[in-house]
Amino acid sequence: MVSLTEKKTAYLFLVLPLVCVGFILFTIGYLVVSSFTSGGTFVGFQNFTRLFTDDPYFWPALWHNIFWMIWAVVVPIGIGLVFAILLSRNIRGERIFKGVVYFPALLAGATIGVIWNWFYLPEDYGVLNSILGKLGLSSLANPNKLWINVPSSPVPFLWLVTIPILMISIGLMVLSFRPKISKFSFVGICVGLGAVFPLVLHFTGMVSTSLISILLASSWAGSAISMVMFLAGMQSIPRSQLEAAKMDGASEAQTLRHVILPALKPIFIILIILSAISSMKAFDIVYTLAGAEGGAGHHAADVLALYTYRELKVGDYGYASTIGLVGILVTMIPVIIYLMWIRRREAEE
Amino acid sequence: MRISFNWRRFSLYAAIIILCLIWILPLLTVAFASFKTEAEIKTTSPLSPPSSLFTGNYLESLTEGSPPIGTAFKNTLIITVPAVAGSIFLGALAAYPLSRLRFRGSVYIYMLLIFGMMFPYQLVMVPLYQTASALGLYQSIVGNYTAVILAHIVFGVPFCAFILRNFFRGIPRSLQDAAMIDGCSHFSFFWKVLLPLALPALAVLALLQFTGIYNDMLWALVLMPRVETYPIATTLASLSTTSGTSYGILTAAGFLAVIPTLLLFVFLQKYFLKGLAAVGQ
Repeated sequence: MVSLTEKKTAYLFLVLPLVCVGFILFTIGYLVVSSFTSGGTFVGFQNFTRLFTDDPYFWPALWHNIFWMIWAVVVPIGIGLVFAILLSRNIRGERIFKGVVYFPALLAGATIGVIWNWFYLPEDYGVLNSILGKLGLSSLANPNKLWINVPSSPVPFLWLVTIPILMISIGLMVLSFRPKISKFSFVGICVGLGAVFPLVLHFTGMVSTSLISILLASSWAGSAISMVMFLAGMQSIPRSQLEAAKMDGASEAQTLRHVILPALKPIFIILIILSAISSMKAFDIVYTLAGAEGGAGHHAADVLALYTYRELKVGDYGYASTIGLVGILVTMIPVIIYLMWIRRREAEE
Repeated sequence: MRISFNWRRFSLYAAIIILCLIWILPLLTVAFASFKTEAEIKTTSPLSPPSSLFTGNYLESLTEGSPPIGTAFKNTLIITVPAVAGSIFLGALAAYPLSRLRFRGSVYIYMLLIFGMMFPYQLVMVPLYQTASALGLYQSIVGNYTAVILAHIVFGVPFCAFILRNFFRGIPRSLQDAAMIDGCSHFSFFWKVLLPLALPALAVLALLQFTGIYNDMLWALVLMPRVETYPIATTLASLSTTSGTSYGILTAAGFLAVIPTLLLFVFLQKYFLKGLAAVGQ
């Protein structure tokens, strides 16, 4: 009898929360139905054919989302780990340094937009142009244009910043997943993914100054989350392991490589999944920095959520639903991986 | 030995300080610009601090813009308070049975909540827009607020439930058994024992929910046809995308929007970090 009341109570408690989740499921159902309509009438697969075959904005927007995903699982995670490694060594004033890195994570996308808009302004108004001018590096930049609005391949300065970050991040990630990797393939992976891949993208014009500028701004805010999680992960490494490494005469670099990084693998996994999901949510920063058109009318940084919003605003609800639905289907890949992971963990407990 | 200069330590500090300077630079230069006059912005380097603390931009941004920042702050408050309270309460309701009671399907409900937490709500603006329209929420100002508050609650509940479930699980089972033997019902145990015990977790969660909702611009953009009900983030976004806004006012408005978060953070940094670490569990 006790279990019966327990069951009843459980469902009673869950009624209202389940209404909320039910509504979320309803929105997906609505999206599916609505994506087959136009102006309220059923049109079959017409929206989908238009989207896939006859839409100049859809594929670029989807590609930007996917590139955002690639970026988000490498750059903010790598930067966060570097900060975590530096700050985990009994630093004086640790709280202040952590605060400096962490604070941007609390800001609104709109605020980040305002801040970085100021950073990327043309001529000498912009902070970045002004710094590069002082360093005599104007030739690497695009001093006469608002960075966010430049649709051409990234200016050299952006790669100069990005490529080292990519190489370090990929290197740390590889070591964490494959601690015993040979030197040769390690260097190969770092250079290949960290330098050759970006350069290919550069020369094929598949990414723009606009997109990379926005991604850097978003990583400024996004790195803190991984820093905090890595720091928590490092604290949970048993002290005895670190001391044993020290006793064996391991240098700090060796300890990092053979003890700390392998222990951080689960955190890498969860961060990669969460970042991949959040990259499909990109909207606020792009909207504030690049406007509703995603890059001053030439869509150089357009993303699916922004495109949905534009279609919603012009009242093409059926088509907006189709775009949203495709975006959700893409997001489902990391979401399902995450759910499977959670389920396995629950079963283990 | 102690006097000898430690290069390792020195380079560690140098690296940290340089990185942190780069990190704070964007915010710092915006703060600089917000205290400069329009003429000073045009003539001086963005890296130089303002020659005097000119507050005109702040005063102007409080009254200019649509809606003025002052009104936007008020709107934010109207939206945030019920949305935070509502999502946390409903989240706690879901967290209790998921952490304490045995019933069929609990794993699936838990996974459903995680699904809701991960869900890219940015992509379902059409159903929300049309639901709010069907409910007639665009007709009145109260309806406008209600639409945005409900959207925040619906998409906030799974996250709150997730965090609180993990916290409730840490509270000893014996406590519940003792209360039950004393004739305490599930609901009174939840209300009178569990929630007061969970106050620290609730506070951390409230902090996270507050910043999340304070920062959101999407729902207002989609669900509020009236500009005068815009919260702060949406106002800022519209200021930033309107060409011709003076940079002094824009940076001042941006910095004003940061201040509440900054104050909370300075005093409650510990709790923010704790809350964030809980997300990753």
